[in-house]
Amino acid sequence: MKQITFLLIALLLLLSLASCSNSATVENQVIFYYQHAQPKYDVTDSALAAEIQDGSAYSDLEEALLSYLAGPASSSHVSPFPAGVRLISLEQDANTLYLVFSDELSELSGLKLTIACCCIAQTCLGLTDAENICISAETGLLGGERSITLNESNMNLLDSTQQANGE
Amino acid sequence: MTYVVITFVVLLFLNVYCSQVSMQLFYNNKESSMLEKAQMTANEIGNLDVLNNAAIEDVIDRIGSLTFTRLVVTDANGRIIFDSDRSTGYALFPQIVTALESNDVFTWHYRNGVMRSVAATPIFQSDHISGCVYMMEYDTEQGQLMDSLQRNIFTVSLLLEIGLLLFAYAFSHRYSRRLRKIMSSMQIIQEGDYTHKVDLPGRDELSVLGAEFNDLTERLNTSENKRRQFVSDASHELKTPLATIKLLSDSILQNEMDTETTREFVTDIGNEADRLTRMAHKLLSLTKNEGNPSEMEAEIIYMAPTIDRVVKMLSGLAESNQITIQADLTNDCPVLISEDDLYQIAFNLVENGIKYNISGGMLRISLHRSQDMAALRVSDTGMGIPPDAVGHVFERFYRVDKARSRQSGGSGLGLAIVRSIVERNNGEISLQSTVGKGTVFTVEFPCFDIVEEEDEI
Repeated sequence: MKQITFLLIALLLLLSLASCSNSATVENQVIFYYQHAQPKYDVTDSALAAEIQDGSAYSDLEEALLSYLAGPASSSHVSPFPAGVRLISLEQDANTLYLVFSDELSELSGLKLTIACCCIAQTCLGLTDAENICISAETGLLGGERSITLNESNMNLLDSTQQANGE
Repeated sequence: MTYVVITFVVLLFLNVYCSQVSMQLFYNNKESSMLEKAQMTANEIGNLDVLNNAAIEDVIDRIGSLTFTRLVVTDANGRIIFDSDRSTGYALFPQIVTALESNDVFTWHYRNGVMRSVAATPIFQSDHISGCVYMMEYDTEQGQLMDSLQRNIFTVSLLLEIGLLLFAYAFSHRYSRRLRKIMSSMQIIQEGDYTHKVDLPGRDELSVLGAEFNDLTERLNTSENKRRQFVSDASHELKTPLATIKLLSDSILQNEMDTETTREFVTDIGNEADRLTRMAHKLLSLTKNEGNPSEMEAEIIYMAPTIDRVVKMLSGLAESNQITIQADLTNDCPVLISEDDLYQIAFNLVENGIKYNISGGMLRISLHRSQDMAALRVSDTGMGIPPDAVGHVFERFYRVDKARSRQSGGSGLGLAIVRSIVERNNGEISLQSTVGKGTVFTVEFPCFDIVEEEDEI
């Protein structure tokens, strides 16, 4: 009887320890978005690849973005940015985060530019409380426009029709 | 149990295989139909001068027969131009990204009776990708059909497996019960009850095995009875001369007797000892005859010379018994036999004819050929054999007149030995006897004519 009680207590302790460990991870994690090296088509997959990072390693947003621009840690992910892209400035005004990158970003066009901007916007939406992310290049244009503003409503990463139909 | 496991694995394999094949069939069908629809839509949109929501809606209305859950048309940047779900902005579904990289793509997911199929294809305008068509179908009808098909296959497999299990159980139960019967019978036989029989009706292999087992047991029982009889007879026959020797030697030791009487007693002891020796030799001979015939020893020989030799050998015994021997031997009787065997047959029959004849009697020995058979007849004028004893004279230690047989030094093994040798050499032996007149023994062998090769000139 004593042995069973001891085993139950040990099990409860282990479970509580495991749950503490999980909550600590959730509290500190940040997600960087890149592209999949090989496309994935599962119902829960978008074109963007999520990479979980330890948020406690970064003291502020700028430091996190610097690390983000350095590229993915996983070999199954690829960076959508051209080499040499730097963050020139960042500024948050009300609900909008303004990000200015070096002109290397304006070398991108079409779908590649869209993916790169969506990756930045999706990452920043997770890092800050901003609702809109406005991305621009230092002097150049992005796809013929001065800036691209993205938010959760104009970035459709998953076809949510399945949920609407009850799956 | 092994068969059940094998069939279970086979059924499981068939189940999985059927499910996979039906899934593949649905997949192929869906893939071709959805890609065809997406490409047709993309072609129609590619013919437009300007890509905008209203123009694309017109195209979709014009096609009319399109069935989809969601249709999205984007420009080359992934910006939504048309969406049946009316969302705006950018669409970065993985299928759209692949299509904008100039690939046709079809993906298919099936879960819980729901099939979610997506096809995406690029829109070309003047050889440039100007956008893509994304088409999604959320199909519960076909999903349920697939689900029902899989369920049916599973149910049939399950029923088959249950049926198979029941059959295997019944079969193995019956089989093992019958097998146990044989094993318990073997145990009984092992304990010495050779009369036991196993009862296994039917026509299957076990019934055949049971019948063979019974046959074997029967033969074992016969053999055992013969062995017991032989041991009993042999010990009885050996005991008699030994008892006589003991009695005579005790008499010599215990009584004072003259030299003549002592000599007579010692002579009797010697005679009994000789009889024992002859009996031992004959038993050995009989044991040897029961073995497999050695075909290497047999050769084609003419019978007459060997029989003539026997007659000459026993003429002294005949004379002392006042028996006249009349021999009529035909030379043309070649048979396949070893000379020793033929000598033993003739010797035993002629010796019998002399021993059991009446004083002043006649012994006729004839050898004749009739077509392909050589027949040796030994006919005496003795007291004959009673009809009830005729069937037993070839048995070991059987004597018609026991007192006379022992007196004449007979062992009761001579005719048993003759029959054994005759049968070993593919011959036949028979007898006709009339009480008070005599007995005729006939031995027949197939003739083997010797073809002499003529020298070529």
